[in-house]
Amino acid sequence: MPDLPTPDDFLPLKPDAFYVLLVLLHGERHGYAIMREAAERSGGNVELQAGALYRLLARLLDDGLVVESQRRPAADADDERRRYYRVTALGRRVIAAEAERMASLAAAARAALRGSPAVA
Amino acid sequence: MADFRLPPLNAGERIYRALLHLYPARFRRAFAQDLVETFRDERRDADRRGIPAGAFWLTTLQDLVTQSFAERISTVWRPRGRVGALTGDDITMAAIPLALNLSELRLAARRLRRVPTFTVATVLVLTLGVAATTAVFSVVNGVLLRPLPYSAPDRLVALTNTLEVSGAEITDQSDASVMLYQERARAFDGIGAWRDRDVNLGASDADPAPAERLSAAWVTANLFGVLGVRPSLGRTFQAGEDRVTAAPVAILSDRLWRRRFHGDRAAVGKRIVVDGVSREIVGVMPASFIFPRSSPELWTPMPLDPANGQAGSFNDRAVGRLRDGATVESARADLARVLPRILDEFPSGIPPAMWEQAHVRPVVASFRDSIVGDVSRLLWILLGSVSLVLLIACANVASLLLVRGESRQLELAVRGALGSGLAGIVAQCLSESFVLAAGAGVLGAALAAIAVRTLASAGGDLGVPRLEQVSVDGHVLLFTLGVSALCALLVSIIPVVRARHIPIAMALRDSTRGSTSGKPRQRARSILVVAQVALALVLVAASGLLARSFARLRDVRPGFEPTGVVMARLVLPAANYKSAASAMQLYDRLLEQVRAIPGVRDATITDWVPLTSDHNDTATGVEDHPLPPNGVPRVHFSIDIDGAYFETMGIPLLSGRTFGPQDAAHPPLEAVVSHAFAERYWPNGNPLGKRVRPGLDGPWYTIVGEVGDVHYEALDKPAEDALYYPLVQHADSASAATRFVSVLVRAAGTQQASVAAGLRRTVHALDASLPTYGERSLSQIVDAASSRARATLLLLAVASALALVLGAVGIYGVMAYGVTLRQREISVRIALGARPSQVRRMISRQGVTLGLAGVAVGIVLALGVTRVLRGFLYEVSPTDPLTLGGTCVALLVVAVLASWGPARSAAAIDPADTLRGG
Repeated sequence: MPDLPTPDDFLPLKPDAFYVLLVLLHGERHGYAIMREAAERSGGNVELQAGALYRLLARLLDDGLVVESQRRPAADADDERRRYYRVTALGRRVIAAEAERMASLAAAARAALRGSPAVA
Repeated sequence: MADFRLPPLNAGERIYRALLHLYPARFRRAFAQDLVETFRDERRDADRRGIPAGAFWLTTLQDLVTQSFAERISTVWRPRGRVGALTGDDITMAAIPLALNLSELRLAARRLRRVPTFTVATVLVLTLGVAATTAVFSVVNGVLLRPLPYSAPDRLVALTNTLEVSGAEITDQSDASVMLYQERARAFDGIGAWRDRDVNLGASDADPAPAERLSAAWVTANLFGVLGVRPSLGRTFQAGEDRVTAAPVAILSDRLWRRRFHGDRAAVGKRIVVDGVSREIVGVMPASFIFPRSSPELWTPMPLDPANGQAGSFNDRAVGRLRDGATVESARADLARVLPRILDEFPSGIPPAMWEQAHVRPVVASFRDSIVGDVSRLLWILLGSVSLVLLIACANVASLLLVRGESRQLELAVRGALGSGLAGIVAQCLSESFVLAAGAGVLGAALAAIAVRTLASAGGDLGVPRLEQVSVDGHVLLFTLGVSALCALLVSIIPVVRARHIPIAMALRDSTRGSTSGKPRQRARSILVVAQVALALVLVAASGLLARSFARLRDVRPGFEPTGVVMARLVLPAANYKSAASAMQLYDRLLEQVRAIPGVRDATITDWVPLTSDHNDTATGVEDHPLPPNGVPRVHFSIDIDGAYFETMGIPLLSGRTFGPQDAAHPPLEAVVSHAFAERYWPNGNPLGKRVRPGLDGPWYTIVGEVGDVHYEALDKPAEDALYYPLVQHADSASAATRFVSVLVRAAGTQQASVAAGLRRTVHALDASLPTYGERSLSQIVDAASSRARATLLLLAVASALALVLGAVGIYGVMAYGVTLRQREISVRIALGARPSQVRRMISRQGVTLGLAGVAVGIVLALGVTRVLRGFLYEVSPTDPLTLGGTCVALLVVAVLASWGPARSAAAIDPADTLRGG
């Protein structure tokens, strides 16, 4: 039986992927909403165009970090039914692992800065 | 999932969806719908934030092209989906900036300079493809995509009606319906109307230039307001000026203002004489103002008479501006609610039951569609055709690049070994493609600009609306940029993908021996050639079909003899010719004097010259085919003529006689019918002696003659049932029809110019205030009737010729390279005793095989694609076996010819040289 992927297999997460998963942690979204929110939350650092977004979603879907949910009418469109995405349990664990990794990096950096000779 | 719905796509979305084919199929199947939806969201967002369309499309296209490219590369290189691991993405993303680095591009340019033949050939081929595509796109952009020059043009709608009298028919509005809608319709901010007419502009104190005939238009007072255009001087019409009782005013076009008043700003307030009536000039329209299918030099307010609106004469083209929140559908419903009241307000002498029978229904359509509707399909087909040429060109260039890659394997291997990695190799391939594509883009745009300027000056002759304003503008250049970039990426896909397979160590070892590693490239090139031949076949087949259709069209006999006949138009203003007698007197004297001009064989007067924009159909009653009560009489073409018409036009008289001399005091109640008319009502009998009448009442006319059929409307429609009446029909007043006439003169061939001049002089001598206009020969008119078919054929023929040349070059290239690859093998054969003819045959067989494969694929494609041409073919089926068979043969012949050169050089190989050097 093939090994099940562990969250560590996916680290380090690239910023795009990180923000997309972060957005989906806040609830199900359809494609365009993910684009907008990711741009907002990252303060403009992650600006995904449509093609890039869906390719990223394709990878996330293939890897099992994200899954499609039932199509529903978009809150802001007429009666088009959009495809919504949500994060999976594995996805949650991956983003948690990434957050931890970044936290420990940050802690190590801070410790090193405190202990080093005066920073000008 | 079946529970989704996508509202109909607009043009931009359709283009985007088509472009999604750049993505690999698997990705597309999964995400195409989402991508289109997101595109729509982004578009809406961009519109809301006021981002211009150009910038929006630029980012969209850049995303689409780079991502699709990266996705394709990834599918080749992806080890396994790992969000974190290094994928083809990263390599591509790293390569693109490397490639776009200025020093890398300069190096690429230098490398290309060292292989001039390759570079020139590639740039040339790409330029042809880019130029053709850009030129056609300019036309598509200028005619179909560019917004109309009115304010908020997508709120403008054209108002027409459908009628069911003799079959379904589309008509414009009547004065009555315009007044009714203006008063009662609620879904519009305004409804205006326009009617083309010709007027006599007379001389006056303020305006001493001689009298001339002008095209002009009657407009409602609010029309310019509805369109949202402002005058360049003065004002437009005010409310209330479009009534019969209002003071007469006029607005000049920029052209007329400069011509008659020399651009004098004090012209506003002066007076001019139009059709004998003095009018005050209140404004001048700017030169940029256009209205579809109409270029008047003068506007006067429509003389609407609320007490007397005629609901049954549909002469006014109506334009409406939708109120905020109204849609095309709600507007139509609104008009449908209002229209039934028309006979209450404007009785017009029409029995209500008959109006009911006619099923008059309002139709609301976008204004843009009413202008460009019937050309849009044709233009998209043309764009599709040149895109095929572009694809063929790209395939050709990719093929050339493969050969080049083969010879540079060593160089690339060294670069890879030295550590710039795969990204460096990819960058090298890409940078060359960019330089080539950039060169082709610049040259192609320049070439296209020239072609477009030529097309635009041919303008109205081709019957394509708005063609005069087409140019290579910012949008088109953007398109060229996009197309060039697309070419760059397309042609590099194969070499880049191949780059992955460079076995670096092996290449460094076996740099001299290339035979085994050449095989995959040879297969790739063969596939490319087969694709080129297939695409070329589609183009050539399309041209062939159009050519046959055109030939059939030219064979259609118009029903009259056009050679040697010249025409001139004439209008007798009602003010000067109040009675039928005075009009007939002028005509009689005119014909008498014209017939006396040397060189003239015969002359006649008519109100409808076939195959021009003249048109007059009348509801006709047939005595022995009475209508059911409240039935609506059938409408037939009616032409007013004098007795010499058939003789002058060369229309055969099948039985009976024509009209005798016409006496205004005792108008002859006689009619002549066309053969089709006689066949319809009396299929086995004789029409002579039967009686007909125009309209619902009035005297009956006896049929005295039957003549051959004439195509009045178009050559590719059947000849219509037509009735001929004498010029004078009412004893008491000159009816309107007989005052707008054309004089037709048959002259001996060499005398045509002098006869035309003589005609003009004669008219002027009889009445100096009557200008003649619209002078043409009938041969010109018949030619013009097939001009659009001719233009389409020409364009497609050029595209096919290009495709054939490129296909031939492709085959030649593959064959020649194949010979180089197999040099050893061929030398061995020759050394073992093979005769030159056997060698030649072996090589040619290869070429023919490639050709056959291409033809096979091409035929399948063609059968599917030519269906699209159905509406444009006259009496030729889109799957016409003769044409398709001929095309296959033509391409096979090209394949054979293209292989001839390489076959000969193969047979001429000296085995000793090759085998020694190995």
